[in-house]
Amino acid sequence: MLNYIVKRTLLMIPTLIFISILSFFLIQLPPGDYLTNYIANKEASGGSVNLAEVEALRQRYGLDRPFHTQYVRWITGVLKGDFGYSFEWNRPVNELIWERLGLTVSVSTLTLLFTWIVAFPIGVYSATHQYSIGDYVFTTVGFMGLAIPNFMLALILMWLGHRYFGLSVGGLFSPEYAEAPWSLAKLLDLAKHALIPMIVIGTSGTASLIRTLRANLLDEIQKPYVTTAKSKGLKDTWILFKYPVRVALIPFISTVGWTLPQLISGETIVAVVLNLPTTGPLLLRSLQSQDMYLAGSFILMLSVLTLVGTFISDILLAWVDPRIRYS
Amino acid sequence: MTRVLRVKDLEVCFATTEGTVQVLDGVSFDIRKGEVLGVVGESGCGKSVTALSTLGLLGSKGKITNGEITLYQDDGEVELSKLDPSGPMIRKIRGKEISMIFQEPMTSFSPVYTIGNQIMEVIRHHQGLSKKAAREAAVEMLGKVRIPHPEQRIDAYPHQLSGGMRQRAMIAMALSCRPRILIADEPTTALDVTIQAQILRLMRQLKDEMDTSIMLITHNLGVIGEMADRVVVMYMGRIVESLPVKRLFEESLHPYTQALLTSLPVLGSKKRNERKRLASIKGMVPDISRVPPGCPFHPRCDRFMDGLCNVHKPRPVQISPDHEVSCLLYSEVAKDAG
Repeated sequence: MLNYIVKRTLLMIPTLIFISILSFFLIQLPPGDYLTNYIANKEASGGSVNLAEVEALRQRYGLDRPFHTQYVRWITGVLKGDFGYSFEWNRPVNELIWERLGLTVSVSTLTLLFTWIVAFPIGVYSATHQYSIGDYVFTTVGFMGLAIPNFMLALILMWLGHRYFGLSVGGLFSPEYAEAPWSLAKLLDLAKHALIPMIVIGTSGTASLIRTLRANLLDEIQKPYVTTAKSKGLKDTWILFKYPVRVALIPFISTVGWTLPQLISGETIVAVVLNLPTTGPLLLRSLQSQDMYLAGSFILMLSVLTLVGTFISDILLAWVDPRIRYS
Repeated sequence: MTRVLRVKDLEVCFATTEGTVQVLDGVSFDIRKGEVLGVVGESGCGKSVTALSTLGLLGSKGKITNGEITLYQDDGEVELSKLDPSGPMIRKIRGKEISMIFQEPMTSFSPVYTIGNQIMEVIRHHQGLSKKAAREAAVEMLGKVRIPHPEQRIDAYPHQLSGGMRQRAMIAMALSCRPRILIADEPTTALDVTIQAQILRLMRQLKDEMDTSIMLITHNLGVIGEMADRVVVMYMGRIVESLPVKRLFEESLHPYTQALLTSLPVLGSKKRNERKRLASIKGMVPDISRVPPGCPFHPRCDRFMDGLCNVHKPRPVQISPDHEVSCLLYSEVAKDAG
């Protein structure tokens, strides 16, 4: 097992290097750079641009240098913890992303937990009571959850929350806590605000996990090893959780890897609608304005999270399934 | 010899999308202490259903609609067919009084637990042993089925063992609580021929050693000839003939049994003109939801008698104390008509 973990960790290094090159390359693919974009915007709105100043900026950030020089500059900075400078915000990338990333990871983790806690028992119930009334109800609700666009659900829940529960909706904090230092009251405020995003972002994930678990479990319940376990005289619930559920969880676990980054980038539209101070909207804007260091850093972060997620799910898989561990 | 299991007039129905289908129609037989009863027939004839109904493992779709299954214990009888299939009573029988091994040892073990875990589980469940004692018992059983280095192999996962070793482990698990009856459903079908013979020999030895009776389900008459003491031949959910194996090859009477025997390859016929194409039974087994009227075998039978076989349902006829056949050729109906 230890061997496997070490091997998996070492494999991550070349992948990471490759991804960083690729993401930097992709950001540079559109013609021009932040400055040409900036000039175009200024001129479109009727302003004038000091060309000498632009040229000075271009030289200062090395935008006139070839691709590889720019990449090496950026990546050596990243290794020292300096992610570069955001042109649009006029601030170091570091100052911009960490708090948002922290909030995003907490909202995402909560959502993931919500998803699992809801999906697991319903999935098991639906599979063991196939074609029962309960199964049909959950299936219908699940498909509705899948079908309703997230932003729509967000709008409805916001309206309901505001109209009937008097919640201050939108954002992750009430106005009085937004700039306040961290305290228990602020944490509670965050929890209250996180409820709607959690439900909105979690709904479709929950629905698809229920379907996956149900289908897997239905397959596993028919396997001969379940009959063997029954022929040993064991109790049905014991058999269910010891044998088929454990195997049915394997695909469940392997999705952890994709869920992490998806939770961060996938909810951009919801974050815009709900005015969440998470990473999604910031990433969207930085891409539109070709704010290359900010966008690059975000994409790098998302890639790292994907790798970490896959790593975690691989370790969990090896732990659950000995056939992976020993091959 | 004393009886350990009696099946009488057993009828089993399955609910399908096209309605209820009767898959067993009046199946009756006994299993005696220490004997091997062979159950033979083509796929779909109801061999496995018979086995599963003794353990109450027909599932939610299958149901015993008539008949009795009685287990004879030292301290009395238990009516297995009357027990709630999901209740605690039948669970005390499963794995302890009657246990079962299956065709595919790979899929019959869960892939994610060691074989030791799965063997110890049944020992602890029925005997309430400590973990340590259960492990010792499991190692001892693995030794009994001649698995080399049992104290190491106990921690192996199913995929780390060969097919033959897996089936040995399966036998060890099934016999670990010294059951009265071992039901073996095609135990060697998935194995190499050489391994098959080893496994069969092992089962015979352990049966004598542990004084267990075996119900051996197979479609292979060679396996029956090697292993069984008595044989029942099934066709479309009915027993067509039952007799001692010693007499099977010479004295069987039912046209279906005879047809099965002639479709066996014979080794050692060296003369050129004796080499013929292997005989096969004409036609196909009809769909179980459309059982032909009268004798279900009549559309494929060489000795079909029009007006009799397609009208009258044959009843079992006693030929000698241990020999019964259900065929109109040997019954009063035919004699009256003739």
